[in-house]
Amino acid sequence: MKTSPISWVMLMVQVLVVLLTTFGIVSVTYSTRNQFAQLERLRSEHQLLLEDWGRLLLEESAFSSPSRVERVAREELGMIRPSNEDIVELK
Amino acid sequence: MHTTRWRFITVQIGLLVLLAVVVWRVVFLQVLQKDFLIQEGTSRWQRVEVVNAPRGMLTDRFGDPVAVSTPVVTIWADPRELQAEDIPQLAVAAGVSAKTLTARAEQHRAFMYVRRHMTPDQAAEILDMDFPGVYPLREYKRYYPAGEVSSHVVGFTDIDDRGQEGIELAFDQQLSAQTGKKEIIRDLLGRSVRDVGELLPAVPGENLTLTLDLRLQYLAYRELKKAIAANGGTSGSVVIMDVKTGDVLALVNQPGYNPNDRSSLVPEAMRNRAITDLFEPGSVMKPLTMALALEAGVVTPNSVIDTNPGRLKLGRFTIRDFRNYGELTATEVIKKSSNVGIVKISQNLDKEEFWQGFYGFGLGENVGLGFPGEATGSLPNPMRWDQVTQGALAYGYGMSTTPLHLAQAYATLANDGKRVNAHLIEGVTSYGAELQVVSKRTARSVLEMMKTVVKPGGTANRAQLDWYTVAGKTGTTHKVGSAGYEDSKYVSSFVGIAPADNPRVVTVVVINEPPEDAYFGGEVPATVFRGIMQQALPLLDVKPDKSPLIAKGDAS
Repeated sequence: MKTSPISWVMLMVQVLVVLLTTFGIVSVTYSTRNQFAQLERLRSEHQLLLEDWGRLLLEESAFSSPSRVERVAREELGMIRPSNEDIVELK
Repeated sequence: MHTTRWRFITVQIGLLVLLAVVVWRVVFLQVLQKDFLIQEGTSRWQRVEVVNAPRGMLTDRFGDPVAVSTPVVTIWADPRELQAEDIPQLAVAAGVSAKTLTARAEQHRAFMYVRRHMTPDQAAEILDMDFPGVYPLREYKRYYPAGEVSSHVVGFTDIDDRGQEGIELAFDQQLSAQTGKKEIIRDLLGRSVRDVGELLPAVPGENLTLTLDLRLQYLAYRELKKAIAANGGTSGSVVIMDVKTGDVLALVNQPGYNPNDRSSLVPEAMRNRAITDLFEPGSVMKPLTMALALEAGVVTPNSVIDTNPGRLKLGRFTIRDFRNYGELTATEVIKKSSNVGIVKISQNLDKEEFWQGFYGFGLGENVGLGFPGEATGSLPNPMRWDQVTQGALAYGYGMSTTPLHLAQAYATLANDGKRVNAHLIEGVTSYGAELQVVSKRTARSVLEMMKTVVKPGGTANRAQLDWYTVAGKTGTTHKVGSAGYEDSKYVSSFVGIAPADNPRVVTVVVINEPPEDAYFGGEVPATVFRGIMQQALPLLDVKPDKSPLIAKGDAS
């Protein structure tokens, strides 16, 4: 039995498609892993920044706590609450 | 010939049997046990790792943090991989006793904690020593920047990041983070080499914004603590509420605790008294009774009430005034806090209307913050009221409320009689239709009456502010002991609304068992109120509406 040239072409196309898909899968898998690894790297960087941010946030809230602000104002800067005699009312 | 054929068949059968065995084995491995074997295979070079995400942050209304999750590292070990000779060295590095570690390694099969919640730097030191079978796990530790100042509202979490108290418990679902999972490739020693894929993403918890104003919270805490330290008293609470929105701006209690160091925590100090503890409010209820009486039209601010001879028989009981005030106007009944006067006024009130009014102010009903241990308060059923009950209710006995209930009721009064619902979380809107409990006119005239309380001759002269008008009311009640009302144990309270002419905030101060020589609500609580409000109102940008009387008199 003689195979028609069209069938040959079809077969070749199919083989080509299969090969392309195979390489595609391999490369997609590879790049997925690569990108995920990169994502994780960025995440751990994010994590480090988060640690810093948390530390700074706590530091800020410790330094700006009302009790500390009041102490610094009173003791280091010599500030006082104005008494009623010190306040002039503007009409 | 015959024998040869027989031998041939035997060999053939033998080979077929062997072939069948091989085929069966192939089917068994490739088909029946395929999943199991693949899983076992990958487990040699792959591992699923837990990924934690931070719990939601809690902030005050301006975004200042009150509860933050900071990353920490927990060191864990796989007892199957951990070498026994490494244990002493690991124990020293982690600061745990070697005995404990050995015991843990024997007890657990695949996972044991070495030490939880270490700072990233500390953990890195241990990991750098490269013990086989020792791994890090990222976790989050809760830290409370405001410490004891906001501890009763915020609450705290346990070591596994689950809410145990306060908002942390009440809103645990929103705040909790979802743990994720990821696959990693590991090398011969079990160290992770590469991340392969994410199985389940880790989702951080939702952030929540509280209605608290940390500045007021701090101020209220400091003033209350100072007052209790100076005067004595077993406990106390302060609630500051915005009268328009019902936002709780500050909510503090004494005794308190430091949520960051709970090693010396006593259960006594943990209670959020302003929300969970009921007390008989006493005289602070009089303005509410008066509001209902004005609304019903049984009295006007200038009606004269004869309180002679300073006592009144009510069933089996006799109600007394501090002294005989003689004839008083309705305004003076509030100013002097006359029990006889308010009982006489309330006798003309319809009990159904009376109950409905109190209920409208939110008394005897759940406040609905969703806070753990929130008290409902009690208000007797009007079906069973007699003259005595009604008289007692008129001046705040025979019922119970929390300081939060009082703040809500007075916020309603100060909001021109329109019902206000307490909020602790921003963005939560109250349900239900708007309820006008008393008319605007009634609410205004009750505030006018309450203004006289802080004037000379009123019961709370000490609550007067220099730059702002105040409407207030004191309360002093006997505590209930094992044998009825105690003679020398009191609860004293003060409710203040400022500025009286254009109300912004209502403040409730309650002191439990104040010193016996200064137990009136016009003493310690009124002083605490003044201490907080003198500074709080300027902080809130409230425009002064009066000037202090200056002795020098050089002000224009």
